[in-house]
Amino acid sequence: MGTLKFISRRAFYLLIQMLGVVTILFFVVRLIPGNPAQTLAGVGVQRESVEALERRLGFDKPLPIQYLNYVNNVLHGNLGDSLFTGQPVIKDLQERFPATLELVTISMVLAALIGVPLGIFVALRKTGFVNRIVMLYGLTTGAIPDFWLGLIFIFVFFFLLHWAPAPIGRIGTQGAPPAHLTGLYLVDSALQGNWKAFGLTLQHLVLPVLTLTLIYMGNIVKMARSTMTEVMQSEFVEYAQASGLKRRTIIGYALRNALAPVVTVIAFNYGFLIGGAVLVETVFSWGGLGEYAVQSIVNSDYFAITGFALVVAIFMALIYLLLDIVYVVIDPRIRY
Amino acid sequence: MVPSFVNFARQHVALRWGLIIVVAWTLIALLAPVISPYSPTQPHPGEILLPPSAKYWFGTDKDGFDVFSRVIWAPRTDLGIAVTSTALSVLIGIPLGALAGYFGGRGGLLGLGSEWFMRAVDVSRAFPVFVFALVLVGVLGTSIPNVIIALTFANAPVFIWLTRSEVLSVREKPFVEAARCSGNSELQIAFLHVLPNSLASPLTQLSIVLGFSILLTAGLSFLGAGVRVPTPEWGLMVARGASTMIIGKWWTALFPGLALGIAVFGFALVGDGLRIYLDPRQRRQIEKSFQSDIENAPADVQPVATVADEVEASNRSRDLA
Repeated sequence: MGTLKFISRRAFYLLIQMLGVVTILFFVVRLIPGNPAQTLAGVGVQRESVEALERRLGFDKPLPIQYLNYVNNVLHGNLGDSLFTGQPVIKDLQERFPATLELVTISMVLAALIGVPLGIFVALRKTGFVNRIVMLYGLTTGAIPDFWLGLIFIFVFFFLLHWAPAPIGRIGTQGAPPAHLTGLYLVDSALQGNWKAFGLTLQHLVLPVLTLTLIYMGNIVKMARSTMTEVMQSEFVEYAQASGLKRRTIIGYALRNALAPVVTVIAFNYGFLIGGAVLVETVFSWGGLGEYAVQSIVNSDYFAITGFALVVAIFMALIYLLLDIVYVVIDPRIRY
Repeated sequence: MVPSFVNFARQHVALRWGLIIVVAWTLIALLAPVISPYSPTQPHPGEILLPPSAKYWFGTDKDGFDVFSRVIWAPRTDLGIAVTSTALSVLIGIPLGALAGYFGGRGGLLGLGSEWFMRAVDVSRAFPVFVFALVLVGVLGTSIPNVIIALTFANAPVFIWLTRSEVLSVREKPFVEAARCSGNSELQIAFLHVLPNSLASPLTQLSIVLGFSILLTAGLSFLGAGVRVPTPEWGLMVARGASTMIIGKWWTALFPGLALGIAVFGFALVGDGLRIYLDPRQRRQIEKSFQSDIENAPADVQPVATVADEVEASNRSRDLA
């Protein structure tokens, strides 16, 4: 009961936060130096057409009315039309979101599956050559630009070794994407038994996933190592050892207690990457959210930019919400 | 303080290397006109995409620029933008954080204002830092001043939060009461007595934010949302080299990316070392063991500001709920 109450309160807080996000986005666009309609219309356009555009977008109305209209539109899923694609921004985003989601999810799952055991392994061993390597790795990943690492991989695995396909999108030029069901190519092609598309998608995923996994696993390894080290030094572990429990049992106890911060880091990396994979997406011409954002920024496509930001903010907020629920599951001591 | 810091840096290998890297890049940036063999913005026509040689140490790129000279000149842009924006976000973030912390939860107009202000800051953190900066640059337009503005806004919340949370605990100390009894005004207490005692954790973050800002600047430029050709800048150089990487001309992107990584790494090491230095518990451990090493560096290092802040953010949102 308490948990349910907590979740509903938390969801309410999320709504307030989203309203705040929408407000910020509204002001960000309205604070553009100069006249947004003029910028949208382009240089050298006649005054009348600029004014017409202003009227069409509602920019001629007082600011509070504009704000209410904007909030109303967002609530109805109307994020405006993209100037570049000519489509509603929401449609553009829907088309591109699965590409990013697929890439980022696979990367994060791999990073978690490898990173957590690695961090724990290092924490239990404390010294040795492997530990030094892992520590150095943890420190380095925060500094290496992911877009650069992606390029290096392209050079090595595509140009030199010919192991990986050319970095052009999710499926390349040799095959057609599977019929649209979820937009996640791996899922769609598997459901349809289209194994050619499945294989091609997998091949194209290897390098970008490798890049993201290697870079963003660093934080996970470090967090897993530090919390596990801390827990293994805590009094209850000492007590368990004094009681003569088997080492395996003790490690099991410790793991449960070390889980929460590790899950937090994984979740934050995941939320960050939905918007932060922009750079790697660009390197591999991925055609996801990130590329759309970059395109819209280069073209001063304001509705597309704010739409992108909104989607990222919503995704992050949902992840935080999920995280709070997961805490309760993994740690029975937490009660809201 | 100074001699003990020098001693500490001597014992703490990671911090020492961090300082060496940071000082080296600063010197390179300052001495660029003297050390760079060619002009960074003057192409060599007809000498396009030459591999590294005795004449062009890092080769030339597809525009005929000498890669080495540009790598040498780039920290002027990258460090310049990072230092300016970080300084601005400190100048904005620390006073605002001090006010919000000192008056927060006290009732009255200032108290109420502080609470609302902090909610607004929390909302701004709904965006990942990189997306926030990207959107700001996208809306403001791509130019160096706009990149600085965007990074300033993206980084200021870290300093606001850290200062605020320190001030919240310091304001309860007895010496604050003493200052009040001596007839200081509230603002005097906030800025002259409480703030100077609350600077440790925001200042520790300084180096980390600096490194992260370099990464952000490069990332923005890589996407075409930062500085423009022919300005020498690492991220932009990697972007220009990206298309030639696929045809095997590795030197155009390899060297600027390496330079960028080393610089960010240096700042992360320094930030990390400072954190341990300012945390007496950890410092004693290191001074005791004496043979400090990367291995001994604390495990929960967060060279990239985001995760640490984000964790803090989530803690906050959980507190609220």
